[in-house]
Parts: sequence; C-alpha cells; structure tokens
Amino acid sequence: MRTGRRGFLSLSLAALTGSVLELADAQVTGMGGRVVAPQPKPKASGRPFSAHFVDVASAAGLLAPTIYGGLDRDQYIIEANGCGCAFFDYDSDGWMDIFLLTGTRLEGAPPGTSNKLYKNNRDGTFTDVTKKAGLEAVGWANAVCVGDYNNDGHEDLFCTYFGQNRLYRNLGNGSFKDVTREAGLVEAETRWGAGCSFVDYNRDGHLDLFVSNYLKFDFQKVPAPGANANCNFKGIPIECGPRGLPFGQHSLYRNNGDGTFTDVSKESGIAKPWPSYGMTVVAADFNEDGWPDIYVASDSTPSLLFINQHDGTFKEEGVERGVALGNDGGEEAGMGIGVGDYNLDGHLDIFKTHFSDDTDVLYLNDGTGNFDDRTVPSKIAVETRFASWGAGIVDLDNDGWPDIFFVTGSVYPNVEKSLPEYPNKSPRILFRNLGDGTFEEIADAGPGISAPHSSRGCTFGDFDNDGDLDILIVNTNEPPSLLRNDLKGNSHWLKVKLVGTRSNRSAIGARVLARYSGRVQAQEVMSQSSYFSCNDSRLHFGLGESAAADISVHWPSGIVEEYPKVKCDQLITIQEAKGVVPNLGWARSA
Amino acid sequence: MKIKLLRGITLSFLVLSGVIALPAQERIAEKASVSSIEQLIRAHNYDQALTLTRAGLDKTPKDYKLWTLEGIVLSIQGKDSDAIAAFDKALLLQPDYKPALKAEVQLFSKAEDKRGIPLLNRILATEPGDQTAHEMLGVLEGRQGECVAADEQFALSGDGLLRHPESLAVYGGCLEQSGQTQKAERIFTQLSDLLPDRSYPKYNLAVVLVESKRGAEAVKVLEPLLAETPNDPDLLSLASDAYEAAGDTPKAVSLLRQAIVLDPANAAYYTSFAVLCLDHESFQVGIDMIDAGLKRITNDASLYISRGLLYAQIAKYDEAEADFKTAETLDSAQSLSAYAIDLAELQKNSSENALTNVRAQLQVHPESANLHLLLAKLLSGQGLGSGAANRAESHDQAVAEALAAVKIKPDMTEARNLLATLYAESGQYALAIEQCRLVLRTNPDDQSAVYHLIVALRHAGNGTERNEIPALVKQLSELQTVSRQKESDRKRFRLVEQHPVPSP
Repeated sequence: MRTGRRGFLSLSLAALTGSVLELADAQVTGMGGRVVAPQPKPKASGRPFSAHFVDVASAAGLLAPTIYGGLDRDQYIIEANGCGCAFFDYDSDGWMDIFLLTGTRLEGAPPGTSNKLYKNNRDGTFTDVTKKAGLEAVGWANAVCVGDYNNDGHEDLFCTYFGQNRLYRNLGNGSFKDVTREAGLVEAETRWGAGCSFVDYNRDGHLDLFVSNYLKFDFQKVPAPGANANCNFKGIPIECGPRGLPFGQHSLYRNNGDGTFTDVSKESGIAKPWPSYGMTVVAADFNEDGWPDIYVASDSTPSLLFINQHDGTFKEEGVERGVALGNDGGEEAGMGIGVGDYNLDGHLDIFKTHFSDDTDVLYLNDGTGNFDDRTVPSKIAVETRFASWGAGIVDLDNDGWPDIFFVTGSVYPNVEKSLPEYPNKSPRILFRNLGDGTFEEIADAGPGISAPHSSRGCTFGDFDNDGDLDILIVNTNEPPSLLRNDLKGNSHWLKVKLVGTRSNRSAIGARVLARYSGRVQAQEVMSQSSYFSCNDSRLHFGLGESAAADISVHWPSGIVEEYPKVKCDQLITIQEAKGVVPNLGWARSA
Repeated sequence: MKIKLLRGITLSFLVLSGVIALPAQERIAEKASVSSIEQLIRAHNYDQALTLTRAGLDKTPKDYKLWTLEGIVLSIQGKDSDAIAAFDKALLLQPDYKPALKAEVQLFSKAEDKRGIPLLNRILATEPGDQTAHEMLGVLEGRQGECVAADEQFALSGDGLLRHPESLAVYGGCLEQSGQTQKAERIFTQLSDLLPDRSYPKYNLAVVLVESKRGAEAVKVLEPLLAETPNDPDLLSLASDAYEAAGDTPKAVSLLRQAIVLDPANAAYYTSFAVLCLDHESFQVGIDMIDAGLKRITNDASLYISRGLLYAQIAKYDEAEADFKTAETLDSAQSLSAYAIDLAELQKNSSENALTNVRAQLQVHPESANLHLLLAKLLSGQGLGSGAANRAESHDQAVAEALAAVKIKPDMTEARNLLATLYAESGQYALAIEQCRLVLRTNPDDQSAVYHLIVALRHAGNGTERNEIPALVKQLSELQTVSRQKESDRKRFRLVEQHPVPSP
C-alpha cells in the first residue's frame, strides 16, 4: 500500500506553488535581484514642487560619452556596473569643477575615450582640461573619492578600477600626478576595486583610505551569458554574476602622514572573508561616538557596517544594527547610498538603491547607530520598476526637508527587446519629502527628470553657485547629464564649507547640525556617497521659511564649535579653531 | 492478528460463561446448552451448532450469550453481515458484553468499517489498557484519515504493533501525512524489515526520505526497486524526486521523462516536470512540456496552473492570467489559481487590481490561507491615503488578515513572519518576538524569522533575551551560507530542449 503521494491536485500544486513562492521571495536573476511587489501609490498631495531640472550638459560643453561596455548587450558583468563622477573644486576657486570616470569596451575603447576633468568657467560652461591636468586614462574605472590626503590644501583623487586603482595627487597648479606607486597603493594582483572613501579612521588628522572590492573576476573563468541559471533573466541569457562568482575582499590603508599608506586590512578586521560583493562606500559617524564608521553597500549579499572600535579596529555589525538586509531578512542588491537626515532629528539616515522588481530601502537612524527599515511606512516602496544607482538624501526644493533622488538604468541592454517592461533606459526618480515621515514621487520636475537614460553615478552640487542643488549624472554610453536646478520660490538656504586644521584639511568626517524652524538637520562631509561618486563638499541646507540657522560643527578632532543665528542665503566657510573665514570665489552676504 | 483475536473471543466467552448469576437449575441447563454449542464449534460442526443456538434462542430470545454464539458461528461460516446482525442483537440486550463487542469489532476491522470505532471506544472505556484494542482503533482511525486520533491510539498500542505489518503501514502513512517524517522513517524501516520481499514498504520509506530531503538515501532504497520494475511510472517519478534531491538533475529529468512516456495521461508527472523547470529556471522548456501534456489532458486544472506559473516567470503575464482563469473554470473548488492570478497582477505592477481581485476571491474561497496572506501583504503596504489614522487602519486590517491565515494554517510561517514585521512596525515587539519564536519552532532555519527576532530583541528584549542576539546573528550568517550553496547547486543545471523533441 503506497502512501498517497501522487495524483493529488493539491499536493502537486502545493509543490509547484511552493517553488514559485520560494522563487518569488528570493529570486536572484543575474545581478542580485528579488521580486517584490510595489506598494500601491497613495493619492497625490497636490502640493506644488518648486524645483525644476533641465539637462544643460550639451550647452555646458559636456559632450564626451562615458564608454562602458556593449551598446546592445553585455558579455560580462564587468561591462555592466558603470562608474561614478564628482563635483569638486580642483583649482580652489570656489566653483565646482566636474570629474567623470569612464570605462571601456571588450574590443577596446573608441579613440579619445578617457576620464574627464572639466573646469568650471563660471558662466554655465565647462572646459575640458583633462590632458592639461594629467588625468587622461582609460580602463574599467568604477569609483572616485575625493580628499586632501596630504593636507596641502588641494583636493586629491582616488579612482578604483578593475585592475589597478590610482591615486592622483593634486599639485595645486592645475595638474595631477599619479602617485599610486610612491604612495604604496599598487596591488600585487589584479583586483576589482569598487567603492572607496577617504576617512580618518584613527583621528590622527590624516586621511586614510578604504576600498571595497566587488568580486574576483577572471575573463578566462567566467561562464558565457546563459551558461547557467545565474546567467539568465526571466529566461533570457545575460551576463553571469555576481551570484556564483567569488567574493571580493575589502581593504583599509592607513595614511602614514608622509605621502604613503600602509595596508592595515588584516589588523583592522576589514580583511575578513565577508560574503560581500562590495559597492559604494560611505564613511560617517553613524553611532555619534565621535569616530567614523564605514558602511559598504553590497550587491546580492548583506551590506556591511563596520563600527569603529576606537583602537584601530572595526567590528562588523550590519545585521544587528538593521542595515544589512531587507525588512524580510533577505539579501538585496545594494548599489548606491544616500546619507542624510530625512526626518530632521539630528541623526544620519541611509537610503540604499537596489535592483528592478525590488524596493529601494530607507533606514532610519535612532542616533545610536541602530536603524529601522522605514521603506514601507515612508511610502518609497511604490517604486520598483528599475535598477537604481546613484542616490542622495538632499533638499532639492530648499523647503527644509531633504528629499530623495536617484538615477536608474538597466544592466541588461538586450532584455528590452523581449521584455519592454524592462527598458534599457529609464527616467530619474524624485521623491519629495512631505515632512511627516513619508515621501511622494514627483514625475514632473522637469525634462531632466523624465528623460530616460541608462545611468549609474550621480553627484549633487551647486555648479552655478545660485543657492540650490544641481545634479551631475553618468549615463552609460552617452554624454553625462548636468541637471541645472531652476528652483522657483523664496525658500531660504545655507551652505557650509569646512576647512580642517587639526582635523584633516578636507574636513571629511566633520558633522554639521543646522537648527531651524524648531528642528535640527545633520549632515557630514563625505568622500564618497551616491554611487561611486563624490558630492560638492559644501554642505547645503534648505531652510524653508527660516531666515537663519544655528550651526554646530563637530570636527573629527573632537572640537565642537557653535555658530548661532547664521543668516540664510549664503555660503559660509568655517576654518577649524578659527571661525568663519572669507569664501573662495563667492561673496558673503551682508 | 485477526485470527488470534477470534480464538481469543471464543475462549473469553467460554470463561465468562461460567460466572453468570442464574438460579442453580437454570445455570446447569444454561451451561449444558452453551457447552454443547461450544463442543460443536470445536468439532467444526457449525451447522449443528447453529441449529442448537437457534433452538435456544426460540426459548430464550433475550439470551445475549446465545446471540453472540450465533454471531460467532456465522462469522466462521463467512456470513459476516448476518454475524454482525447477531452481535448487534446481543449488544442491544447487553451493551457492554465484551465477547460480542470484541467479535463485532473483529469483523468491522476486517472490513475496514468505521462502525468498529465506537465499539472499540466502548471496550477501551472499561479496559483502557487493552493494547490490541488501541492498535485496532488506530488502524480504523488511520484508514478514515483521522491521523491525529490514530497517532494517539498507536502510541498506546505497545510493542506488538511493531510485529503487525498492516498496522505499521497505516501508522506510517499517518505519520508521513502529518509531517512526522522521522517517526515515519522508523516505522517504514521496520515494515521493510518485516516484509523484505514486498516493495511498498521500501517505496513508502523512500517517500519519507525524499520529503526529508535525503535524496541520496532515498536513491539507495529505490535502486533495487527500479531494477525490479523499471517500467513503473509512479516509481520512476518518485525516483526522479530522489535523484533531484541528491543533486543529480540529469538523472531526475531522464526518469521523469520516462514516467511521462509510460503514462502520458497522468497530469501529476507534468506538474513535477514544471517544478523541475522552475527550480532550474528553465521556464520555456517547462512550458513546452506542459503544452505537450495539454494535447492529451485537456481538463486538468493543475496543468494550466503549472503553465501559468512558468509564463509568469518569463514576464508573460497575460498568458499566465489566461491559464489561471482556465484553471479556475475547470476546478473552482481549488483556490490556487485565484491566488496565482493575484500574483500575476502584482508582477504586472497592478496592485490595485490585485487588491480588488483578492477581496472578491476571498468571498468564494474564505478558507484559503494563501489569499488571506496575500491580502495582508497588500494592506500592509497600502496605508490608505495619508494620515496616521488611515495608516493605523490599514495596519490593523493587515494584522487581522495575517491572523486569519495562521488560524487556517497554523504552520504558515510566511504569515507569521509578516505578523512579526507588522508588530515590529507598530512597536509591539513582544508580539513580534512571539511570532518569530513560533516560526522557528516549525522551521528553525527560517532566515526571515531569525532576522525579525534579532530586530525585535534589539528593541524590546530584556537583558537575557538581548544576549541571544550575537548567536542569532551567527546563525543567520550560517543559514545564508548554506542557502547560497544550495542555490549554487540548484543553478548548476539548466534544462534544454532536445532536437528533435521526443513526443510523449
């Protein structure tokens, strides 16, 4: 008498449905994806949104495309990740210049392909000074992080690559020198450098360097598209990975104070074999103990939060602090990171971007470095259509409430022919902060938002120094977008530029608290955020109707300075232990 | 067991017959009549025994002992229904008369007749230690599908059970159905030892091993059976499951294809093939096989559901929905197609449609735990309009639906995980912790529950409970490592079309 195992509808279907539910809950389709249903959209608030974005890249002279991988299809994952960009002031004239990384192609890059440095002409246009600056380079670049590692007053650049990362020292005369070798940063083997951040982890006043690594990649060993189930997206062959490929290992380099670095990955606890495909890196003091921590977005694996132990070591606590996984405990994609204080409680929250068919995630910091997943209550879970990359928690309309912005783009250019609901190019996404813990998606904030591109890195800054935040975006195999914010209305703002003296010169790790309208907003100067990118280091605060704000500066050295009733609508430059000093290239208001 | 019991009944009847309190003369006459009949029975003189019994009944029609004797003779003669009638009469006159009870139970057991159940309960009411009665009751309950009751009875049956193949077969089947796979494995192993020349005990043992995901052991058990009967499609499909669980997907596919070829009109084999294709993300191959099946089997809802689920995986949501709707038409009693339609709507980003559909489907299938869970998920993401009051209302409705799901299916871990999330979101961490612990009792490897427990303990655990967190973090990391390895193993193989495609 055989047990009744076959022939029952419910049993077979239960097995079938069980398989599907398992797949639906944890479907990994190539580059770290799940299948999560979007939240239903609530009714529109009807409140006007005064920011309006227009793409002025062409008019500004940003014409060179970012070459990255195949146009119609990618063979390998190395072609899909794309790269970042930076707003930074390389010539210290008070105007944001632009640095854009590039990739290459399997068959070689077209002539003229290179990373690009564009000097701000201060009239809405830029000049390509890449060659003059000595920054011409082509390869599989990923991330850029900015910081004055030698404290000479000039911002330096570190660029990660599949292959060899590069440290460029800013010589202060409009040019850079590749000092990778003399700094001791040459890798013994080929590695895939992904995100990076300068960070003074030991608070000695010198910027150290953290580099995440994505995975161990070997062209000879990676399977071809469609070769196995890790190389398929809904039945369509795609490039393999990251699942199924070996993890990368992250690195921490201590600045010796003499222009060189020492690899302290092992002794610091960073080099443990974390199951992590590392991507963007953010260094910030999440638990507000005065020491910078390091958060690494990790693709298809738990994201990592390294908590500084104050003794040269770090302890990884992402899971227990609530920032490693989705709210169902599942591993998510994890590409870009926005850091900001969305609920104006004085603590740094995290927004992380993910793959299509999944929500991006919003983690609320309780001030102790413990986070709660607020994705659904904040209503950002209405959007799951696109793979999402560079992001920011930034006040785009200056109403005093930081909004959320991110860029999108497919990693499978060949899929849209069969599945048009997964387009290669897709619009930018903007969520305006409603001020009650929730957000509302804004689709009509200008053509710069709605235009579809396959984007990756993006950076936020004020390139035209008009008191609002503009956005520079890397578009795969296209010229970049430079979204000029034509903000209307009378909302006030304040920018704070910090110059360290006892702390590192770039003031990376300095935290500013701005108090206005009975609330407090926290920001930190960072070397990298968004996706593989670096923002304008002048911290921008929208103040709404407030005409002034009380500013507290918490320097990495431990010094705390107070600046009460700072008038709105100006940039102030604060030098550590000295106070407010004249701005570079920007007149102070009376 | 049956024969021994009958002899036992006769003997016990004879022992009992000596203790009836009658007037002396009547006792002597009574003894003479009973002992005469008993002698005739011993001499296999059944007709005469019956004649004598009936003669006695003519004189004393209320003599329950004579009715019982009549029943015994009739049952020996194979006239079971007449025997039952005689025992009924005896028990009408003397409801607790053990010989009649036991004899009638014997016949009901033989016939697998559930009328034996109340009789056995009566026996056990006065003789709670009667292990044989417990065992017989277990068998009858088990055959009626009352496995919980059967389990209780078998537990009281004593070691004699282990020597009775029929009882072991029923017991094992119940254990397998109720998911007690470890116990089922022991029972079927014992049964296989008792009946080494029979195949069904090994088959059942293999079923349990496959369900316990011990594919390699199941393969070992099945290999000799396959050698004996290589053309048994049911055996082939079980072996396919076993090989797949053992990581040998090519063999699993080959065996299942053979099963389909041998029995192309069996829908279950096609749905099994669909499961293989889903597991190995070979969706089009599965669709093509189901297409072939549908040419032969046109009215089986499971095939349409299978194909619909495969279509959904390649984002052909319209085709998927069409199949689900066909399944619903073919078999509206099952709710899986309704549930699948809603999943397809969600995959299309039509969550509003899904919400409307789910509510309507719950009117038709209020017993569907899946639909309650899906509604809970939709409501939990909704937050009707804005404002704290609306959000609280949605939240409460979501909790209510998730609770409805677990009421119908208490081991529905997904619903409990959703409850944990909802409770945590509203700051009710103690309730969240409770749900997590319930999930982990059912499935200690549930990663969602481990994670939710970490989060909840961090917020609201007392000192001792918070000390659990590091171990839970480590456990979660280990579970993730195991999951990744399993996924890696699962994704090693893809099913591809052969050209030309062999037809079933």
